[in-house]
Amino acid sequence: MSASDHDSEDRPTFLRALTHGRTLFSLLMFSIFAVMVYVAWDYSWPANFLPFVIGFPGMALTLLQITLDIKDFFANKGQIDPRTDFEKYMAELSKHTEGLELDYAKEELGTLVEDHSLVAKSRNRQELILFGYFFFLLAIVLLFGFWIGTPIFLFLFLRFYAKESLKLSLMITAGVWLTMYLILVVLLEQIIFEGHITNYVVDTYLSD
Amino acid sequence: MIETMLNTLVQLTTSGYAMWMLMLGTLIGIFFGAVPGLGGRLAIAVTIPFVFGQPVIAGAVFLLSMHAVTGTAGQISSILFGVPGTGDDAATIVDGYPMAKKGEAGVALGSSLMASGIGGVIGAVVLAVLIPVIEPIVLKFSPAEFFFLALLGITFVAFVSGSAIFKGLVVGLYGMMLAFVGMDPQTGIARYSEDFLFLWDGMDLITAVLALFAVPEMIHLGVKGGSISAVSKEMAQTGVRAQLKGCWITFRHWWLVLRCSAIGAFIGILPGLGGSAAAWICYGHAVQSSKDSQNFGKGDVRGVVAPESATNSKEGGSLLPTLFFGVPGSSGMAILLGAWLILGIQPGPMLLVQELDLVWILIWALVISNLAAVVILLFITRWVALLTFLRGGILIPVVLIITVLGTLLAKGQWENLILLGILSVVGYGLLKYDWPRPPFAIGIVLGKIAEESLHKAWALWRWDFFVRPLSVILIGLIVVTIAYAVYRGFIDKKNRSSANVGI
Repeated sequence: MSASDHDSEDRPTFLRALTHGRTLFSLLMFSIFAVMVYVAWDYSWPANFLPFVIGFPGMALTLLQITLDIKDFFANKGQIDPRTDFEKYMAELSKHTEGLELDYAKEELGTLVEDHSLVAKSRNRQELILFGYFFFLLAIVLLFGFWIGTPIFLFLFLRFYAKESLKLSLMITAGVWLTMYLILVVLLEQIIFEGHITNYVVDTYLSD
Repeated sequence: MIETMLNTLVQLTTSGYAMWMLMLGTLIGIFFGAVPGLGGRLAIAVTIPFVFGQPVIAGAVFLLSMHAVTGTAGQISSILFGVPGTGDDAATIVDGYPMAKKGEAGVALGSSLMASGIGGVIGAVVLAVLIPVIEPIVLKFSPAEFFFLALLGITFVAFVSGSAIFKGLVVGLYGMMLAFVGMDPQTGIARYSEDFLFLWDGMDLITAVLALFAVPEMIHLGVKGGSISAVSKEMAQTGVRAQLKGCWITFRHWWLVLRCSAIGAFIGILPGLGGSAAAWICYGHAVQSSKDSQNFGKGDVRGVVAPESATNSKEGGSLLPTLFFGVPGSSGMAILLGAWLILGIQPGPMLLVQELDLVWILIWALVISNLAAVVILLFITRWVALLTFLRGGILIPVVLIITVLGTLLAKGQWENLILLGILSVVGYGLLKYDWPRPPFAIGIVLGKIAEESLHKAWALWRWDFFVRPLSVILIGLIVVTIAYAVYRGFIDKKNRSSANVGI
């Protein structure tokens, strides 16, 4: 790839600005307001009054935000810092406390000099993995219930995401499950969702 | 009044269950404060489901005491390792960490603990003193004013977001929109809920708060990496004797503690300024008001005492707008307000008339939990400090499981798990793209109240409710707040661009 090809790829265009994560998220917020206002047309007064009073300013402000996002994208030449405000704040703080050897702040400063697009890519990957685990937890609890689903999730997360040893993963899983069971079932006598598949199996094969 | 004050103290201290909940709240608050990245907001979000259905007083006391002490515990990692528990603790690093490096960790911890404790108590005293002052003003409010107060609350908290006020407002309005989900009380129309019966009662507040605050924090912790194990554990070794010496040193600076606590409490009353502002303002005040300021930044105990007393005293101050106006004084108070509503506490002027006992119990809870945290931490700091090393990889799945459990326990409806998943994606988007989330909590909490107030005001005064004197003042305040935020954003941007030119 020639240098000019690389430059043209990095050049901020309107389409790139519009499909950047920040702008897409603002568009999502706009569409939430737009859909809610649209749905409210079918309601009679006064049920539709406040959805309009709140929804229209919401739409206007998100449109304004979309404009600001696009402007910001061009101003930064397409290189948007992926760190959150708190992380930037910590990096700023570390600048003012130079010489104090703040381990956390040094770590944050490290990301300051990195290529933002590379940082963003590795972050996106991490986010997808973590959301994958989270949705797996929701799915397994919905299907098999809380008491079966949570230990499976916890063990898999500890063993494969956190890379803990087999022994520690098993110990933590058993400890957490047992503690919750003792508190919720034995002490508080709570009945927690048992899962669709578990309920089906129990109803079909195990009930009298 | 003094009779009520003393009776409520006796009522709280003689109720075994309430005191147990207070101590439990204090211990859980210490845990959430000590682990960097958790903090008070997450503590409330995660524990709301477990107080649902509890007696009102015990539940309210538990949540408040937990929230009140997270700041006290958060300073431990700031001082020992230079790792702030939350943004509020960052100011303590500047002098606390150098003290630890010089081998004065115990003194720094002791003085910061005592300053936090005294600050918390003074914050509660300021709240107590202001009750008779605020009473006649609060009682003048009608439904019209409460509608505008709800909007003002969102505006103020959106103001926390600084130059991103538009984002803050949008998030607040988004919260309000979600509050309209469910059966409309006026017409009986099922808004935004179609055939989904679980939504007819409205969107579950607990699920929404967990999705917006707990899940995104855990994903973020995983993304940025939660481990700080590179720091030496030897720094955690502190002796009780050195800490007691630090406590004594705090009393030598009693005038500074008193001043900073008062400043912190008044900053807390102004919704939107937050603990970080209180800490830095008081740090600056300590530097400016001292005759020998050359030691600040190199390990001056006054640099620890000033921000810590302010951070804790602000909690008492922020209870004032939260309890009597329903306008949270800080982001943590916004979630606390939501939790209290779930418990059945209706913030507003009627609290002063009908529930004054509860108000006093909360004030006493604030005092007792702050003092208890100081005493507990004096003896267990060295072990609490080790919580800083708790790996994110272990913490994340456990908190996610508690989040799922909370969602299931709240209303016992499995459908809320799907809602949790959807709203968590929005919540993480808000965090990732720097949209402030606290206005959401206020929006969803105040949305219903605002709608009820609007309908009542409309029935009473029609369009005239816009021109009632107090309404005009509140509308003016909303306009001024937005205008000032826009102006501030403009100035910030101008300063940034001139700084870039300078580079």
